[in-house]
Amino acid sequence: MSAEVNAPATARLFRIAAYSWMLLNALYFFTIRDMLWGPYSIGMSAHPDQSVGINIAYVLDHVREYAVPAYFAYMAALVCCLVGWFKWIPKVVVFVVGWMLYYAFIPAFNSSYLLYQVFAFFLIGVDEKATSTFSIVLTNVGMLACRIQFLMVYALAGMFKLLGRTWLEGSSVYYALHLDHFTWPWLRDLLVSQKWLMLISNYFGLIYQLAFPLLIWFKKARVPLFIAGIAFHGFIGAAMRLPEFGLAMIFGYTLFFDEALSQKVLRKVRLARTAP
Amino acid sequence: MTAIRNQYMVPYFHQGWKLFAPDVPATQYELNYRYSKEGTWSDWGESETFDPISSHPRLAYVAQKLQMYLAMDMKKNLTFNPDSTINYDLVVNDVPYMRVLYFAVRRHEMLTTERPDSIQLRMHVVFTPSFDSGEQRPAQFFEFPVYTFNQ
Repeated sequence: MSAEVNAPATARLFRIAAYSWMLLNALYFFTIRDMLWGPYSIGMSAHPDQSVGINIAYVLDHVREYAVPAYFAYMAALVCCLVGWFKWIPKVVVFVVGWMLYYAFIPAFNSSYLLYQVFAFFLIGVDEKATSTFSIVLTNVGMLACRIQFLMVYALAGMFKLLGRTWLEGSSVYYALHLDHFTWPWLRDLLVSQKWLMLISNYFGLIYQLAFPLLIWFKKARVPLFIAGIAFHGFIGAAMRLPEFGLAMIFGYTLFFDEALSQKVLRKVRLARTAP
Repeated sequence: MTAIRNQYMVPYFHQGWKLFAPDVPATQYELNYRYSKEGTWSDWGESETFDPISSHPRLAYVAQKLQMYLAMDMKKNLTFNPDSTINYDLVVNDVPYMRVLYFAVRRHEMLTTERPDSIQLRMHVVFTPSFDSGEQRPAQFFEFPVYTFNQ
């Protein structure tokens, strides 16, 4: 009996998708890096009572001089992860420095970054070309952990919504569109008067999040789920001014691609290792 | 075990999937500020944009997040004095207010290249019209005490 990596093309596609999202997200901050992390940052130290001795993740919150160089090191490590250079070393750098940047300016980030930080941890052991038993097990376990983590996002977000009032009565999209910083005024004016649209989009969002973790295991349901998810997250990303959040979930769907679809996508983007 | 969990597991593996859950907020917050220079107070102005230094949308996002933390703290820690006026003591000594104040001062310094003598923050709370009836509660203003810089 010989062990092998399960769905190596899917592992490769997801690795590329995940590190691409992290790089895009990092580039998004490029023009304001000094304002966020520089010595004259607009953010007050968030962890004045937690020294580096307690946890290295807080180091840049105390030593601002190194924060912007760390940001560039983070991006360089992401490029190495995408290209596949230096094996696991840049992956560890991405995970650790990613947390350092986060704790040096928490309000700049949202939950999608936290999700990809957890992916960054599991991806340390993922190597779609693994040949040793230990590496193969790490790769398979890492990919499984990423899938479980992704499904937990939908399951928990959906269940928390069931504890409230607005999602059950159908008013959540209406109230969300009234939050100025989450929407475009012209879009709000166009949509909120359509009560039926508010109700349908509310229940669609709620049911989608609750159903995804169950239905994704059925092969026939996957493509419709991906299409609906792209529409759902595309709307959130564009209409609610959270583009990185929408892309984070859409890129995460690659975790559930079957091997044939992953190979097809890799060939399309000319990243396949071998010709079919 | 709890100490180890808090020191290592929470910082590296925590997640937060409560955006718009359990309820979407029916209120929104806007922080205004005014400042004094040589005894003259400015008008109230908004505190989110950094034009013309930068119009990056993430800066407004940061401002809004800091305001939301402050609003959450106000819900917990605003009290009333015996004469029914609002007592801000607990809030102005807490971290969310200090962060917002720091942000407003740094923003002011970046845009004007000078530090004011004093600064005052005001939270403007706007209520969304009800989904069912369309009724809207009037907006509320909370004026924080003046913060004066040591000369």
